[in-house]
Amino acid sequence: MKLGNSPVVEVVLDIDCDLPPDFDLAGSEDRFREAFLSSYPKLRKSIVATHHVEVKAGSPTHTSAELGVSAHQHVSEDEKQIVQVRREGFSFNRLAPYSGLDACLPEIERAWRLFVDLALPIQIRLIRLRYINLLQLPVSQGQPMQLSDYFVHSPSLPDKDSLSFLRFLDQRVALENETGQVVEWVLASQGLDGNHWPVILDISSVSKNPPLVDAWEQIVGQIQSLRRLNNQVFSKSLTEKCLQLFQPLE
Amino acid sequence: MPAIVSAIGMTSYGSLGAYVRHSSAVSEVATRSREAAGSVVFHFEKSEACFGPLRRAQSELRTLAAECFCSGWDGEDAVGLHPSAVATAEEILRCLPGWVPFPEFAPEPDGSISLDWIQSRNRLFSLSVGKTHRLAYSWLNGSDKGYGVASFDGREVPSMVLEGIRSVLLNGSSAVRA
Repeated sequence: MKLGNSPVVEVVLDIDCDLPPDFDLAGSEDRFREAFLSSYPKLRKSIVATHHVEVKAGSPTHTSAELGVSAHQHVSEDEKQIVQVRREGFSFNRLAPYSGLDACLPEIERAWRLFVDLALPIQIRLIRLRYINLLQLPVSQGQPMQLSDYFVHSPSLPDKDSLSFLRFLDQRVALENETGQVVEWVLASQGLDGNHWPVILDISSVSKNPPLVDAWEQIVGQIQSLRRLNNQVFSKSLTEKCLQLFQPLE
Repeated sequence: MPAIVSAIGMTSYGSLGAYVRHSSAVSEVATRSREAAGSVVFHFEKSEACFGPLRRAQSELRTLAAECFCSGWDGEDAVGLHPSAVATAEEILRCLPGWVPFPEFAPEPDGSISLDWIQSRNRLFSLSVGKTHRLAYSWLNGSDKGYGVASFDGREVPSMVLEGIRSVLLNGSSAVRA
């Protein structure tokens, strides 16, 4: 489904891999930076901190923190596109404006091949495609919000007369039997924001029957299958009224 | 077109926890969604009925971590338990399916933690958790024994590990965590 006014704020493709046991993320920073530099001139590091507090009776409390790099983020000049080299594999992030997965696939292939050349992954463990949508639902002054106007399976209240939503979080996980792909979607709102009620619809599907690292055509086939599943959840979760907010083109 | 035919869970705790803890997304909206889910998980975990056993297992693990934090905890030259190993072990506890009892913990001289499911001295499964997400495991079942290495993605305990625990401890029967 093509939308004239896409609610997608971020698309994430994760390809989790078994990397060689001696793969050193910190030690390979320069090689990856050089490989991605032309399209991704900025480098950020995703840092994880592990804190340890030692408490023993009669002794002073001893604390320590260990910092580690969990990912190198190679960021494009406009900061709308990111290639991540993670301890668990490869990620490609595309932030809004998003003009569709087809437009991104050539760059994903190029970045993936660079990653494979440098990281030498042994095998792919899973492929995950995630669409994070921000739905700005219009609110009429003085009118209660009717979630069922926008969502086919909307969260509901036990007593609509005495209660009204302030925020909600709804998560579902389902298996697509024919493909074995698992799809998870989260619907969350933190409440009213002016004349809109922002609702996050985060859809993520996973294939755990991945192809070999060098079988790009098969990898693309699985990515497209995940896209189909994500789109199915998106279009079947929203009412026609909601879909019209995003100006469907077909 | 393939259809989604079965729901694995609606707001299942494990998958919600994984949603909170593991994300490669970078947008502010993704962070907001994760924070909302995190507050739900935090609230869930206050339940004694649902999470009391998990909290007690975590407490045992943290006690061990505190006791063996410094090098030489064995009176010799053992390495102190690695904070990353403790964190990974906690994640494994959260990801264990309901039929798996919580393990016993033991420090290892290289700073790893051993998670042990011991049925008897001849039937046991041992999982070694170190600094990385690669888990070494070994098992003994009478005269049979084996070992291997599996990767832990922070979301699901590797199926080979679960199968090993099941075969050693449960002998094919189903059991419910106490």
